[in-house]
Amino acid sequence: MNPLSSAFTNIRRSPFQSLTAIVITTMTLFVAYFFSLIILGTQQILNYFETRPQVIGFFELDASTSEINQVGQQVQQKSYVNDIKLITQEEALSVYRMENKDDPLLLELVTADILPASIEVSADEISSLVQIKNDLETLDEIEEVVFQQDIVDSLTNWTTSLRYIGIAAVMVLGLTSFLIITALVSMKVTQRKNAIQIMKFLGASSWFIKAPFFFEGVIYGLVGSLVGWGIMFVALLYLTPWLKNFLGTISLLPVPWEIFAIQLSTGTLIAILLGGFSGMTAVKRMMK
Amino acid sequence: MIIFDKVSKKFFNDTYGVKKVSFLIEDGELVLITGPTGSGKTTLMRLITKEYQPDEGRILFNDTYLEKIKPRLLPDHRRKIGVIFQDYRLLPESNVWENIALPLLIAGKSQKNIEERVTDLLKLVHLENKANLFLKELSGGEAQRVSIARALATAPAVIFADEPTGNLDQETTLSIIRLLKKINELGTTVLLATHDVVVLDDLKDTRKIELKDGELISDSHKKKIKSKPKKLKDEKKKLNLKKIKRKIKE
Repeated sequence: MNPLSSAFTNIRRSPFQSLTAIVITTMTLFVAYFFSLIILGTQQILNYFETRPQVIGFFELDASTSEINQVGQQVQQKSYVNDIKLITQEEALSVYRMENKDDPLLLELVTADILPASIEVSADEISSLVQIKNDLETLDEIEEVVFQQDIVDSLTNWTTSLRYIGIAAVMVLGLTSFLIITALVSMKVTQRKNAIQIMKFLGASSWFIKAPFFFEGVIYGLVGSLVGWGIMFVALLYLTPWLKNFLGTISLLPVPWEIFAIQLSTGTLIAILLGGFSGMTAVKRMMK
Repeated sequence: MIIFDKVSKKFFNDTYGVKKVSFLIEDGELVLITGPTGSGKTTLMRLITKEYQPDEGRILFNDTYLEKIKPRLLPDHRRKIGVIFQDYRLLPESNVWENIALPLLIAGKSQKNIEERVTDLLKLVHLENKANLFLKELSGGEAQRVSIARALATAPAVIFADEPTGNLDQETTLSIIRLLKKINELGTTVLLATHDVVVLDDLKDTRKIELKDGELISDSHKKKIKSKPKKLKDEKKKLNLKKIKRKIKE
């Protein structure tokens, strides 16, 4: 019987123990896959906001076109600025008209000369926004700077918190999986202590004895990863209509298949290593 | 060839498993190792299989000193020795065929080779029609024959049978002894540790090494270690050279 067949026999002989190991590994991997998608999603949401005008500077009403263009060039040259957009007084008026087209009274009262020109600036990274805000405030041509710092800060905090929660959950569950697989394989090694003794007498190499337990751990990792990913995928399909509605113009779905391929292959590799390492740790400890 | 040269093995409470035991067993011999329970028979087996390390003395097995065998090569050494136990030590979850095939699997033999060898061994021990039975379905004699077939699977140079008839009736005992004699006649060295009077009576003309409280008290066909093995001679030469060099320096 080769080591892989022996591993399957071990699993078949104690189905409930094996099921426990597979369930905990599945949970670990499901949470890992789930959080990896959430982290990826929040990162893309952040990127979405980063590509939008994030800081708006309103010019003095008497600022000339050349001064406005000069400010535009000056800001664009900063390394941390991704893009700028200059909005003249006329453009501001047309935006105003568009937004208030249903209220003729408001349209009558407003003319271009009372609306300030503005500059909309987007940054490469959210952390650069404060710098951009400070830069704009130092300029004489700029009267007021609008910066939605609270929203951006809050989004950044959420993303960071989600990352930490995800990492902590995966670490705790990973450790639990390791301990449970180690404990279960240790029990199986103890059950087969006589057989191991006999095999040693017959000249079995260390690997010949350890291999079935190593492969048993690998199987737990592999099955746990595939089932965990499957559950995550089905859950994502189920939630897709709701998520699309929730995210509005932010285009995250459908998730590209390349992301799934990377996620599944990386997760499965880590799960196999975790299972194999747990099995090997158990058998080494019990054979001492 | 097996040489025990003043071998002692001490346990935790300062009792000796064996004490200054010396003997030489040549290839193809059948040797009885006798003595009451606790006399050191099983300790001898564990020393030969290198499960125990001697505290004093040296053991030479087929021109190799056992202390020189590196841990990673220990499985290779053990494959050269077939071991038969009083309690059979068969795997209860495997059938007769799988038990006999186990040493061949361990040795990494091909499936074809395993099938041929196991078939031959089943014929040798007359268990051709019981290949698919499990340990609980076998009589004591049959289980012991499976154990013998397993010990022979890799064609070892030496068979060490440790009280192989301890659990068997007289008739079955004699059939097992006949089988071991046949194996010996085919060229395998057989060491038979026993205090079974039926066996001792049946093999009264066989060389007998008697142990008591770990000490060798008699060897019926004592063989003198006339010529030291080449390796031993070479080592002595080296030692003498070192001594000479040291004297020259002084």
